Amino acid sequence: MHDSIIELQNVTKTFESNTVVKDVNMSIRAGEFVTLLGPSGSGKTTILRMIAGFEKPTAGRIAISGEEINDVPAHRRPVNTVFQQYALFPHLNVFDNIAFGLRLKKYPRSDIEKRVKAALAMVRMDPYIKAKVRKLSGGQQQRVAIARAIVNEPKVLLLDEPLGALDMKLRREMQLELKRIHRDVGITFIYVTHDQEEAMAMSDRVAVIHSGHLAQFAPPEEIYSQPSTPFVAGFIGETNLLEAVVDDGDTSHWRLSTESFSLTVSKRNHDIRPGERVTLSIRPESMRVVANTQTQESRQPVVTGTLTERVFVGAMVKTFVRIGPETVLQCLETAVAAQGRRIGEEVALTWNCDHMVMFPT
Amino acid sequence: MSTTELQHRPVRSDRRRLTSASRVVTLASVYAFLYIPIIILILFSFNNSRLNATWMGFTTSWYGTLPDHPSMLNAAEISIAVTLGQTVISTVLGTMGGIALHRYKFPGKRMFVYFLYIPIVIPEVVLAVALLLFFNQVSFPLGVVAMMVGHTTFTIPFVVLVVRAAMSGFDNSLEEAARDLGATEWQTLWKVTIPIILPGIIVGALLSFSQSFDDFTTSFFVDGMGNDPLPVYIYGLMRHGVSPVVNALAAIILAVTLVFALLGERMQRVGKLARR
Repeated sequence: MHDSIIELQNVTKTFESNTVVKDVNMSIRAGEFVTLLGPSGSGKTTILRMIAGFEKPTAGRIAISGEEINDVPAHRRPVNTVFQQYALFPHLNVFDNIAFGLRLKKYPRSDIEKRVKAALAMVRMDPYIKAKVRKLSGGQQQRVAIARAIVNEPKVLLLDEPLGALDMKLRREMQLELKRIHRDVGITFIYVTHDQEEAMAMSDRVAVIHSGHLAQFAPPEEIYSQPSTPFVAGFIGETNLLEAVVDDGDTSHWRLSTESFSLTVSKRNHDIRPGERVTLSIRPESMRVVANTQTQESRQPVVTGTLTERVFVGAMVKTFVRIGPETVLQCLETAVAAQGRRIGEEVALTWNCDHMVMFPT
Repeated sequence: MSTTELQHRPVRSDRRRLTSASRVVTLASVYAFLYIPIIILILFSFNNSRLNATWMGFTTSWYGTLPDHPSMLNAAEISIAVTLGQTVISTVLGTMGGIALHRYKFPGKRMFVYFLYIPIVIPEVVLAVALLLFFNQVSFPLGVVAMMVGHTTFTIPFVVLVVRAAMSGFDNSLEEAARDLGATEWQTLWKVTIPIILPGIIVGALLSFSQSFDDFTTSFFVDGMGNDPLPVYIYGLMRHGVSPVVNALAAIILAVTLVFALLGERMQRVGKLARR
């Protein structure tokens, strides 16, 4: 763990009787772009505020570069924060806002000017050096807020839903900007968001927070393809979740029964016992609609049902198939493949079991 | 035209005409009632006569003779000393109180806020007698310092309430941002919180100043011997008849108070604009 810059060990935070962060363990490497992702109220912002020093953990230990900082006040921590509503000082202009931290650290005047200008250049706001912060647009204020933080050369930059107040187009633009800034300055970014697309697009690793717990901490691809819980599978992208019971199988395969069909999976890949209840997660894009009568390769599951709805999403078509009284599966196909299918038609769904994830229930 | 229409429309317009016709009269009488005495006072401060009865021509000589009354200058000095002193005390304590009331929750907070209104609403003479008794009780000497303390008791609520109102529009994440950038609590207070709520603090200070400068009742009770501030001094002069000198002095006090009140009003507007 010697290369980790931030270390959270069994961190718990309780407000009055409400535990919002439960026993979180994380190790973040220097230079990483880590996103804390979770629905609102999941505790992700509280974790960030504990790292910043605005909240004290009720239990556990937070260390930066190996040194415990639980009792270090916010103003002496080597971290800086970009706040959700920017929190620029309204009585100071752009230059004075960015110079605020450097002046407190008693940098020489010429040095301050050089560093502020470099930070402004970094966020491409050079022409606004003397501007009043009130006169700036949301996106410009955000850039100034980022400059104000990185000018102090923190070991870690904390970003609390920094793009939350921006419109979609500006958001996409700033996502790319942030990635570029991260590459250019090379410091560790810890980013909080509830937007899973944003998390996937920007991060080296994503920490999915679910009601105070760290559900999974892994690179985006792994979180998508190998989610650790049904919650993660459902929160990151869309998925079909099915309850199943393990029946006996043959020597090489398990047999699983759901409410409306059964399927077999290789014993090699799945450590399960007969009688166990499991949840299956199948991504819509790994499903295929096939003609009802078509025969399949022996080991692939086939489920029949009624096509209930088709929704165009750009080049793709989302097809909904009802396979039981309560169960509707979603399948994502290219528009070309989906051509000619009608609502009400009897169809069959199939998928490759290698792309299916199984959770114990 | 149907009858309903006939009934409906004229009634409304009649009422309106009545309102606009009476408005001028009403406003004129209200303003006359409020300001004619003051206008007369100012007018007669320029009257070329010892008597405040008939207009004998224009002169500024009464203003010129003001410095010839050493006791009057002394009273002015005392007034200024008391007012400035108490303004500093009430502004500092009131600002601290206003920030604390915004920031912290504590048992009995609501009660505390209600108590703040007491010095504003109770008759001032009650407060003045209470102060006199209190100062005697603790053997505190009456005089300039006693007046400062006395005035502070009824000016401080104004500062607290105005500063608290200014804080209610204050974004707490600004203080967190300052601490995040390396500021101690003290530096955060001086470099962020106070500069941002400064318009509110100045309004509080100006209110406090004008309340104290023209105070008679409290000063009259606790000024001790030979420490009469201007309002009490003027009252003393009145016992020997109203001289135009008093008019001149009153006009000056009026002007000073007015300037501070207008400044305060202006600051409040600037503050509101700035917060938008």
